[in-house]
Amino acid sequence: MSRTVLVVEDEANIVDSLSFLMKQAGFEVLVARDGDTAIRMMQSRPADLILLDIMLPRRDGYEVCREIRSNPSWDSVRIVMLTARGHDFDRRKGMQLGADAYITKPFSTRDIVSCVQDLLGPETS
Amino acid sequence: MLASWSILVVALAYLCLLFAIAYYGDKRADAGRSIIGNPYIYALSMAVYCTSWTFYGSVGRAASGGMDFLPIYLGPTLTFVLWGFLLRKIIRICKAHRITSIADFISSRYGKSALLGGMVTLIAVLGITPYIALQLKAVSTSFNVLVQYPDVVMPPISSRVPVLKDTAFLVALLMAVFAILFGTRHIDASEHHEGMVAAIAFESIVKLVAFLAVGAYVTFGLYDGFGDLFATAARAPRISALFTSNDAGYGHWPTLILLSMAAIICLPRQFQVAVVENVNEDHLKKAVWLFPLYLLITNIFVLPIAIGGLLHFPDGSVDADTFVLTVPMAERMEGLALFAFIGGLSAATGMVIVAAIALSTMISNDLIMPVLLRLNWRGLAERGDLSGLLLSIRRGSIVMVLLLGYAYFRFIGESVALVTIGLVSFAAVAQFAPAMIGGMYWKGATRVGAILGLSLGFALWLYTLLLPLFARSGWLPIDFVEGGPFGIALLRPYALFGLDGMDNLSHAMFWSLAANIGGYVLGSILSRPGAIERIQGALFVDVSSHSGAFGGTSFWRGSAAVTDLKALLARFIGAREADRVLGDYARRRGLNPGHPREADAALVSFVERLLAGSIGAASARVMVASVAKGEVVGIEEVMEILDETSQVIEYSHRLEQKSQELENTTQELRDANERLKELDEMKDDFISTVSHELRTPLTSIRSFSEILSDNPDLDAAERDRFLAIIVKETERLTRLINEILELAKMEAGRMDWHMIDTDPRDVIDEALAATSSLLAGREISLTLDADQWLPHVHADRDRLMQVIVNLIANAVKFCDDSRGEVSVLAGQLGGRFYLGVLDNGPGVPPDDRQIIFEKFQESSEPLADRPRGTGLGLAISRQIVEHFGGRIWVEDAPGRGAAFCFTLPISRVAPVSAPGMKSHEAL
Amino acid sequence: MSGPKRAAERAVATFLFACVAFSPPFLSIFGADAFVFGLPLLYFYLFAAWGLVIALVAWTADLGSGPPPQRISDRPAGISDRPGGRARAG
Repeated sequence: MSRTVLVVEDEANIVDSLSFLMKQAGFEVLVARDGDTAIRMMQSRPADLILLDIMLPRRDGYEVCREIRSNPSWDSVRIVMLTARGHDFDRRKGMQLGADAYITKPFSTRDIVSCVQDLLGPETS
Repeated sequence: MLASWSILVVALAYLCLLFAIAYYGDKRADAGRSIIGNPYIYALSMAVYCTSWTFYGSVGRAASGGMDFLPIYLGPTLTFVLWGFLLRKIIRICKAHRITSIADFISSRYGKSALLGGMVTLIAVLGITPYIALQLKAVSTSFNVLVQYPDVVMPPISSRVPVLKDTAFLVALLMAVFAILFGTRHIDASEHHEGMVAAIAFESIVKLVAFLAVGAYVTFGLYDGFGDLFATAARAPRISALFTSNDAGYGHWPTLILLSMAAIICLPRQFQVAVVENVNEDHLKKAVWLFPLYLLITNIFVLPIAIGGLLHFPDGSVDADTFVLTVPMAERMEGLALFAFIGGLSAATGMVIVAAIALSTMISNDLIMPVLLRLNWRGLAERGDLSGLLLSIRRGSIVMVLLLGYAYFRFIGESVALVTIGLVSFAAVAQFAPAMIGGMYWKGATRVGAILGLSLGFALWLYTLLLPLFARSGWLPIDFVEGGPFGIALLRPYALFGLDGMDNLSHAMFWSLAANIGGYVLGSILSRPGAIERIQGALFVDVSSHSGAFGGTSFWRGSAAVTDLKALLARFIGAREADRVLGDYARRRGLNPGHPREADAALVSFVERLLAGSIGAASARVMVASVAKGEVVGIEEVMEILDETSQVIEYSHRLEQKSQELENTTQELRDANERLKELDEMKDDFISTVSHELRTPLTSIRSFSEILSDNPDLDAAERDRFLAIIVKETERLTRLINEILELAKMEAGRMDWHMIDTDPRDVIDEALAATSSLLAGREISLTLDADQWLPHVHADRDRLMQVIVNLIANAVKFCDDSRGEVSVLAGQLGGRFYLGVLDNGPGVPPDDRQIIFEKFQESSEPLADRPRGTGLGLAISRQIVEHFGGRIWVEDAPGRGAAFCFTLPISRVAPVSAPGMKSHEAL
Repeated sequence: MSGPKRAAERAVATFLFACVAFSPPFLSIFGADAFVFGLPLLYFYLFAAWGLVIALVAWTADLGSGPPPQRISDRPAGISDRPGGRARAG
């Protein structure tokens, strides 16, 4: 059974590229364009990993992260935060809220793929 | 043998001895080695309280009223029990304000009122005159009795002998001379009379020893001790009644105690020795019990001597007032009788000298000098040295006081007992007590109240005590006493308003003190104190808390509202800090940390010190002066301060203006700093936002580039799509960078503007053409609804087009997807060129209508699947429109959607040929 | 409790005692026809009560009533620099 990556990002082109990369790495890809949708999608079909942009409409990435981490049933869900803002402050806040990794835009495609693979571990049948 | 000449010689020798002591005392004082600097001399000098009244009169009183002589000595003891509240406070006030008489005290307390000083002096002189008469009567009587030795015969009534042959008159003159020698010897007219104090103390010893000697002789010489004396007396029913059940009861005792309580402070001579002549407050501690002890010892033998006299002269032929003298005389104790005479002389001269000096000080300082100064008699105010004149006035006053006393004695006093005369005086000076004590404890007491109380009290004293005495002496019709004036029974002086059944003295005291206190309180409540009254009131009432600062150079003796002080502090050290230090101060001093309305002097000083640290001592003084009611320099300078008030006010006003300016500048600086901080935060925000905006297209470009690079075998369609994204995002990035630079240039004012007269129609047409490509492939209708003739504007043509393109692109982006409608309206509105771009999209919520014109701010309702703008278009448009002198805004479009509008000033009306326009008028 | 405050309380208490002791009702009681140590009761009582009041004043004054007193006019040697009198024209 293949593992699922939820891409939460409001820039269509970036969603495009992330979907392409994740599918290519063998993951099933779900897409949410804002925070509310992301939470709703998690409730209907939990993903194994979330690629989470911070600057999102409606509910920002931090809030989504906090919400995910406040629900014990989602403890195993990995969260990779993406941000176009390079401040250390943002990184610290993300890690404090329980993100597993933090990637700054523009990212290297190889880095992001290996990061996701590392977090999810080798595929088990 | 006691010849009259030998008595005179002894008496004169004794007076010379007194003078020698006084002279020695003054010399020692001038040499700085005072002989009176101890509490024993101080206590003995207070014993000037014991006059011939005590020496002769008490025995007389005891012979008829038993222990009735005693309350007059219990009162001072009671007052001294409360010395810490009264006497010490009076002394402190007087030292702090250099007060030298009771008239001075009262006038000073009530705003240095000359009227009050004069009133008090007048009352004192009229009140004390009977008392002086009493001494004259005692001395002349005792002399006249003694010269009869060995016969015990009562002397003839004085009024029957010519004045110049009257012993009392000669005694009066002699005493005047001595009072002048004792009290006005000094050219410097200082109010300290150390020599006099020494002489008075010596006299107190002499009169005590003399009286004790007579008492001891009667008790232990004539009888076998107290037991035998009283046992003998008990066998005579008329005498034993004196010390057992008292028919008269004790109802008058409280009156007598109260009177003497007041007298020990209010009598001018007591004020003189206890307050003015006090050299060290410490002496009080011993004197307050030594003096009552002196009184107690003195009084032990009063009753025994009275009993001895009564037993000795059972027929009543001898006046009981002379028993001290006549009992030794009858027993042929020549020396003892002479000693007793000297003792009585001591008691009388002591009182007369001190009273005359005290009264003369009051008369000269509070009665004559103010009048002379006011009249500017012989250019008085300009003359430098007035001590000579002052001394003459005082000497004249002394003579006058004694002559008054003699007159009283000759016309009134002869027929009245010693004690009765004395009590009339006590009742007069007791009128000072309300104004005096009230003034020390009640800040609200006013001059009007004091004047009213004193006048009423004095008037009633005159009416209920003095006038009846005149009447009884035959100087007024006696009907006046018995039936009331004009037969009005209600106004009988001994039963005023029908108040009957009290002894005359209690009756008089009740009415006079009730009227006095009533008038004082009522007058004070109903009047408003003047500035100096308020200052003086605070200084008198609060003297204890200032006691550490006598002679201090910068002590605030006034007070201020705490709020004023706080506001003053806040102006220089900030409101929060002011709150803090005042709170700390209150806690440290254990005060209520709440907000007392009135700050005491210590707090004012504290504030001044705080301010001095900020603005320097001199300025602090003036600043504090601007809010403190009070005085900044010594009490003597109050008058000068008042003269200078206008200057001070002017100065402090200028300072206040300066400080106000300083405050304004500080506020401006604080605002500027806030603004800078804001700008700094905005800059941070801006950089962070720009960074974000730049990174977003870069992310797409980079990831698709890497995907393409890593996947050479992508199918062609996908590769083309990815390449198209890269190109589009690159364009977006370029546009973004351009716009940022453009905006930066505009904001910095470095933009090159080509301002020319522009026809907006051309620009609109061009903009429509440029945006037509945006509509490609979308169901959007773009319409133009413009007036036929549009006014020209003064603008940079390209920038104007940029604004219109931005607005149209914006409308296209947000208009309804399925049936998009964008319309451009152009025309003239309120004398300005108007252009509006309307769409039928979701519109802009009212809250966002301002911020969407800020950089990188888009409406909070984002539209998914819409191409992202740079977020700078509207910001740039606003910069441009505002540069042209126009205004840009967004409102609801009719029906649905947003209407972005701007107006520009018109540079030129429509062309001449414009139909319907009276255009030539404008040319 | 501080010395001055206690002294003030003692002073007031002494004063009240004296007021009662010398009040007419008490005097009437002691005005009885009786002798103590050969002295009339009233005579003895008045001087005893008076002496007691004086003793109480001495006792209180010893406590150092009120704020510390200060020297008021310690005169420097070689006097005559004392402030002039009340001559207002001065």
